[in-house]
Order: sequence, then structure tokens, then C-alpha cells
Amino acid sequence: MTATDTHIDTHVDDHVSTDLDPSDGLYRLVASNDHKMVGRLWIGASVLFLLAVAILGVVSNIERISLDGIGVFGDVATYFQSWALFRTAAIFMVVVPLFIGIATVIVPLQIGSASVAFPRLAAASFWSWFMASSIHIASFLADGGLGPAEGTNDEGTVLSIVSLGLMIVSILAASVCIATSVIALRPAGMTLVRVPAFTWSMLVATSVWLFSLPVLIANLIYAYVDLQGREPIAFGNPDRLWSSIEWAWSQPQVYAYAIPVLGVLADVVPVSAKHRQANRSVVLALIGLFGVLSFGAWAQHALSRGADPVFEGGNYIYDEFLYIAFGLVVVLPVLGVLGGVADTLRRGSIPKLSAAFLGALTGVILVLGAATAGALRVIPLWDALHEENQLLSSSTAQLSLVFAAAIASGIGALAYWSPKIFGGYANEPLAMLGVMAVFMGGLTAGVADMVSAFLGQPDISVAPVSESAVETMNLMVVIGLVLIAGGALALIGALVPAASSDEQLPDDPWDGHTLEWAAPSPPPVGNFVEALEVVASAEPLLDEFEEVS
Amino acid sequence: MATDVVHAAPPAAELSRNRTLVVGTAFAAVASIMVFVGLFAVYISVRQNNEFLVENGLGGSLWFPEGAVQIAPGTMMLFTTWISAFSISWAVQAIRNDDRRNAYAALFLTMLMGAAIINQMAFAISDFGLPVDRSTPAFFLYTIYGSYIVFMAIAIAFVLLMAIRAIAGQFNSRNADGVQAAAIYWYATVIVYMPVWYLITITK
Repeated sequence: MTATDTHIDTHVDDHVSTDLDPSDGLYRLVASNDHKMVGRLWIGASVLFLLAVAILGVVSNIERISLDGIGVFGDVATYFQSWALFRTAAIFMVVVPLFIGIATVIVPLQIGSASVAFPRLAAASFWSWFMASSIHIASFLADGGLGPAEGTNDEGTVLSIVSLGLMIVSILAASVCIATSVIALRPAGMTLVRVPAFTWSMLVATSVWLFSLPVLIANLIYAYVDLQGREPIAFGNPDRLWSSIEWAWSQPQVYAYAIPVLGVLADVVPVSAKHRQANRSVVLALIGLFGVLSFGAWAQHALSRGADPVFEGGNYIYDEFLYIAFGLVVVLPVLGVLGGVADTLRRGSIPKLSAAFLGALTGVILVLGAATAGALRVIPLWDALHEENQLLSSSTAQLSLVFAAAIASGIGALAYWSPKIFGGYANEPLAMLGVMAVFMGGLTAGVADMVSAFLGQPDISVAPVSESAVETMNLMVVIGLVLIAGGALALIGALVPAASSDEQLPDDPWDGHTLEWAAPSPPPVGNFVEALEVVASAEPLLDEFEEVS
Repeated sequence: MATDVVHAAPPAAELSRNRTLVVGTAFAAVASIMVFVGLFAVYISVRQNNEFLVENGLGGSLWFPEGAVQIAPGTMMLFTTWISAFSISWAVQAIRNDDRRNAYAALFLTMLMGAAIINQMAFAISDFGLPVDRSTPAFFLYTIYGSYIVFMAIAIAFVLLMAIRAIAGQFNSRNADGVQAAAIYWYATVIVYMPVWYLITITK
């Protein structure tokens, strides 16, 4: 049997040969290719990494409170390494894996499938990602990292590059599983327009990742080869390495990691308002448009200025018309989706304030904040914002906002789908506390970083000048990240009762509209006890409910 | 008098299959192509940069030294990839017609073509005679060729896997997904080689 097998495993134990006892927890954890177990592994690992990343963010930003030199880290190189690790980990160890985990469990249920496509590949992608993430962290501890030249060694840098590449390859493999499930495993009658909004958003997100992240792999290949056997020319030079890959953490690419946030909102709100999503196809189209506008592989310095810093013949990427247009237009689909769900709320009943609803809503508000920060950044009026340090600071603001958006939305999604993911209810007060902490934290950090950008945030390694207003803003960033770390702790606290619950739950505790609520909670191997009927609308369970009543 | 009417049984319904392998491979092929799009984009950009520097007397250098890149090996590789595209299509058609002998022959021929391309690339690399030093063009040349060799090796492994499964009795006229998937990935290698040929062999 190989990962290319097309048939769906419904009996896990038949296909995995091992001497371990099948009822053993370790066996189920390591050898299972049941999509629910694989999804839980992604979620569990990303939540643990979230806590570590939030603490790392706090520590590395404490360094910035005082701009009078390096105090906490001892030297600039160590500070930069932690700064870079925060970025790689926030996106590729927390945000993307969290959504992949939720999608690996929920997408097959939403499309009425017995499993995710290529279940063995899905399991393999988790374990390879987990190993790569661990190696990536270890590489930073071994004086590797992604620069600068002074303070890092080439072997460690190569390890950082290779592990980052392997993390991305693993994420792409998981993305193939999810995207293929949506395209190929839908039941009769479920056209693409009828797939639930979260599933649609994951199809858009994984497609954008599959188109854009391989370009990051190409950058890493150049860096890796450049570091082999001689002095690096450009790409592998640790002093210039980060600049060749930073596009993956800047706009518009940074929005690509937040696409599922829109899908979570468009799925949770209609159920909360007990009303069909109005103009549903328009909302799906807007999510698709947001995905298209977030494709950012073209917005890299190497493509506008070449690899040589002396090259002044081309335009600086931030002055390109396309870059400015994307930066401005990307706000519109987010506003459109918010308008669409507001319309549903207006038509439906007043929703109960829940962690799911709050998380979904605050997540999109934070994405809107990130998009607004991006629009401010590209408006030619703000030429002052085009200085390198200011660009860096506004990029950090957007990253903080997207990071918090994904976490808030993730908490909402986990609270909403916890009966399906864990077989129990998440602790509602703790989950709400987590959402609010992350929302406030993200907003504080994002706004403070943006204000710092306008104030001309100095680069700690280049211009150690004291600027009290900037230092105050940097203190606010630390407070924001402390709040996010607190939110991560609350999330862990909220999920423990869900994961350890033995309570018998109803199939559909929220009067859901889509197929996942037709499966038992938690779903058994194979997911659905009874054969599903032909799907005739986007809300088959709501149809059934209306028919009965 | 009642007439006996013989009703023919309705034709068997098409088997409804989830074409996961074909769809998944299409996604994987797109991702692989995008890796090369990334490699080409940076190559073109840096090369334009070099031309600008040369034209304005700011530095830069002749991209590839005169005579370093010969047109014949690169073009031979292009033709070989095209022939392999035909042979993999032949394999798909043969398996769809339940013509297993032709399918095996076509799959074997495709792998042989792949091995030939790798061999030609190895020859071309040794023929360039460009030292792997601080020369930017040589760095790009070897990176792109090396990445393509890895890409081709993955495609050969994929075809080999599907050939083994075909020999073991899988795939037939009703289910040719595995061979079709291998063909999709193979076409990606053919598509990717065309810009490699143009950028390295033609524009030098």
C-alpha cells in the first residue's frame, strides 16, 4: 500500500501492520491514519507551539522596549534569530497547521466523506512537519537561523533552511489531501457552490498555498545551493537571506494564511442566527477573490531589483502599481464578507453570545485590521512609510493582526466543532476568555506596531536611538503578546474538558445546517452511520428540519 | 395474440469513482511547476539586472562565456522530453484499451526516456566546463539543472510505481487512474523543460 492509493480507509486496523496493541493509545496516536486522529495531532501540536511562540514573541519584544542597545539577548545576532524564529514559527508552526488540523477533521465531514483523500499521506505529512518543526527550532539553538552572518554558522543556517523547506513541503502535502477531498470526494448533488463556507475557504486557501509556497521553496533552494562549498554569492548569504524570503511574511502573501478565517465566520454566523446565509454564492466569490488577491509570490525584492543591492534600474516593489492596487483592493472582499454575514444576522434571530460566534467575528475584524494597515501602507500619500524600518514595522503590525486573527478564529472554530473534533464540549467561559484575550492582544500589538511605523520605528540593530513614544508603543506590543499568550493558555484550558469528556453528545447540538452535524459526536471510523441522501442545497440539514416542521 | 417483446437489459451504468489520485496529482504537479516558476523568475530578474549593469558600465559580466553552452545537448533533451510525452500518452491509451503489453512497453519506454534525459543533463553539466565558483550564471545554471534532475527522478519513480502496480494487475479500461496520474506528473516535467531550454540553451 502506498500513499497514492485511492480508496478510503474505513477500517484503520486492517491496513496498518504493527505489533502494537490496536487498543493502545500510543498505537492510535502514531499509527492511525483516521483523519480525525491526524487532525487532532495537527491541532494539538499547533496549540502547544502557539504557547511557545507567544512566549518567544513576548521575550523578543521586551528587547525592543528599550532602544538603547541589546539587553535581553546579549547580542544582535541572537536577537535577530529569535525575531526570525518568531515569524517562521507563527505562520508555519501555528497558523497554517492549526487550520490544516481543523480542516483535516471537518472538511471530510462537511462533504459527507468517510475520510480525507490520501489518509496515509495526511498522516505522513503531520509527522514530517512535526519533525521538521522540531529540527527548525533546534537549528536556531545551534546558532543557525536565517541570519545575520555574524553570530550564525553555515551548517546551522543550512539546517534552518532545509527544515523550513521540509515544513513547507509537509504543509503542501497536507494541502493536497484537503484540496483533493473537496474536489473529488463530494457526494451526489453537492456542487462546488453548495459546499459549506469553511470547506470552500479551505479549498481556496490550500490552492493559494499550493501556488505560492513552492515559490518560497525555490528561494530556499537558491539559498541552500549558495551555501554549499564556497562563499555565498547572494541568496545564501546570511546577511541577505531573510530579505529574499520575507515576502512570505509580508503583504499580500500574509493574508493567504487568514483565508480560512472568512470561511469560519460564514459557517458559524448562519447557524448562530438560525437563518440561511443570504447571497451565499456572493460570499463564496468574495472569499475566492480574497484568496486571489493574497497570492504574493510575485511581490519579492529579487523580482523587482534582482539579487544585487546596487541595482537601481527596476522599481522598488513597494512602488509597483500592482502592489499598491492589491494592497488597496484586498480590503473590499473582507468588508463584503462582513456585510454578507451582517445581512444574515439582520434577517435571522439574535445570536447567543458564544465563543464560536465571538471567535469567528473577532477573527475577521482582525483580518480587516490587517488589510487596512496594508492599505495605509501602500497609499502613495504615506510616502513616509516607505523607509525600510517603517516598512518592517508595518509588516510586523500586519503579521501580528493576522496571527491573532487566525488564533481567535481557531478558538471559535474549535469551540464550535469540538463535539466532532474531540467528542465533548469545550469549556465555554475559558474559550470566550481566550478569544477576548487574543483579540485584545492582537489589536493592541497590531495598532502599536502600526503607530510605531508612522513614528519611524528605528531598527534596533542599526539605529539604537532612544525614542520614548516608540518605546511606549513597543511596551504595548509586549502587553499585546502577553495577552495572546494568556489566550493560548485559556484555549488549552478550554480544550482539556472537550478532549477528556465521556458524555454522550447529540449529533447536532447547535441545529447546524451542514452535513458534519449528521454524523455522530464524535464520528466513528467511516464517519456516517447511515448512507447520505442526494444533497439538494447548501444547507441539507436545515432543509430536512424545515420539511419536518 | 400477445407478442413476446424481448427487452434488452439497459447498459451498465458507468462506475462512479472518486478520481482522487488524478486530482491529487494535478495539484502536486501544479505545486512542482510553481517551484520552477520561482526559480525562473529570480533567474530572469537577476539576468536583467546583469544586463542593466553591463549596458550602463556599472559592472556585471558576460552571462555565459562564449561557447560554454552548446545548443545541441539542450535541444536533444527537448526532443527527448517531447518523445516521452508521446510515450506516456501511449501508455494511458493502451491501458484504457486493456492492451497491457503495449502499456508495459510504453511505461518502460517513458522511464527509459527519463533516464536518458538525466544522462544528457549529466553530460551537459560536464560539458559546460563552468567552475562552481562565485560566478552567478554558473550558480543559476547548476541550480536549475540540478532541480530539474530531482524533478525528473521523482517523475520516473512515480511512473515506476504505477508500472509495478499495472504489472501486478491493477488498472484497466474502467480504471486507468494510476497511469493517468503518472502521465499528468510527467507532462509537468515536459512543460517545465521548455523554459529551461529557452532560458539556458537559446538565450544563453
